[in-house]
Amino acid sequence: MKNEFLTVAEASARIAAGDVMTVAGDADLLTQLPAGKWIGGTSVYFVTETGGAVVRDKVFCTTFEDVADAEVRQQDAGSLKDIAGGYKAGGFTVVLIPAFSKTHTTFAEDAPSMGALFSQPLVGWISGVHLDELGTAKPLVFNGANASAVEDGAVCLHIALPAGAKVNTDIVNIFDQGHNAGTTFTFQEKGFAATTAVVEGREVNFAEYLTENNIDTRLPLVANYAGARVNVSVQAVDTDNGSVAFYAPVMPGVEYQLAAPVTDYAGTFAANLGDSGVGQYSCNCILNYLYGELEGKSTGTFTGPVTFGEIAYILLNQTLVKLDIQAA
Amino acid sequence: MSVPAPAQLEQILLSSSDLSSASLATRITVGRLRTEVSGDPSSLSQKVAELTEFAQSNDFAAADLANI
Repeated sequence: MKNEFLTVAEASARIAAGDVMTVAGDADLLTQLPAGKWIGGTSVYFVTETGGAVVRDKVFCTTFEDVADAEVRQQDAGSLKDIAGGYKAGGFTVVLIPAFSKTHTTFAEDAPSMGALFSQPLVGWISGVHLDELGTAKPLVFNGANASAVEDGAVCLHIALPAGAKVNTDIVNIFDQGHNAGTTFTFQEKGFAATTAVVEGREVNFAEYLTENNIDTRLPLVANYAGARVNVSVQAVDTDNGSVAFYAPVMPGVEYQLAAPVTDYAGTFAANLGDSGVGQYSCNCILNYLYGELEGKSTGTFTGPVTFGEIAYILLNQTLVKLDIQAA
Repeated sequence: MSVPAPAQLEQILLSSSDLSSASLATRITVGRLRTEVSGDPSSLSQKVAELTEFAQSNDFAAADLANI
């Protein structure tokens, strides 16, 4: 696997030569790429070897080398279960979905219960836009099979590996649960927003509670899925209408604890990641980029797009997702 | 790969232990099923059946669960 920034001309030549790739970049660049075995998504934020950066003149390409087979497929919000129908034996799948789309919402809410998706590594991310263009530019993904832009859908790159090769995916979450009863919450309904939460046995208006207790909403709510720490990040606290919006859905009955503070984002990432990032697929969250002020700060050897949500089977927030392939 | 017996899977779903050595797929699946059982204890046998099917369909999951 090879991660690199390429010009449109260089990426086009690779695609024309038959390379199997995922591509991240500005929409104006992605629309220039020819048809081939690739999928793409809009992102202008990246983690590079020298630190976080905004890059708009090149595309970030991950080339999957020595694959046995690859196929691009596309699903819509109503057919997300069929992602698993494209799985190739012993392989893995990369999926890209535009932010704020119906497919984004449906995947976030329903993927945890789609058992078939968990039968082999499924990684990917939610495409975004430059934050100065929120509301004016549209997050897009690209179906490389016909070089088309997709505003609402999931583009999947299904890859088969040679016999004996192994693939593994995991998440790197620099946040631990805070273990404070006053910031441990459960919610009664699934959704990207909540008006009430239960804390210390009391039902409270969540927006008021966060505000009155001066809770730092840059810290995610962390759930523990049998040892996998899964974050939900707060998007907005609206005390006027008493609701809190999230970047991923909260799930009923799941215990969420506000994360313990992290004082050194970049250093903590670097310490958690080690130096094994070269040759691995990864993506990191725009909230880590912003709250950790990662622009210009190195977080180690993992490079990749900074995204509006990460996917490792399910939608994640404030997390790095990584995928590693070991040759036979 | 043989799948652990239903009684063993039941204990896994009733426990709150971290499955740190298991694959991410298994951890997320078990975590979700635990929450569902906690919210509706009468669903335990149904969730054990779901976990059994998951393990039967995926050798890695069977290995994960057998090694707990």
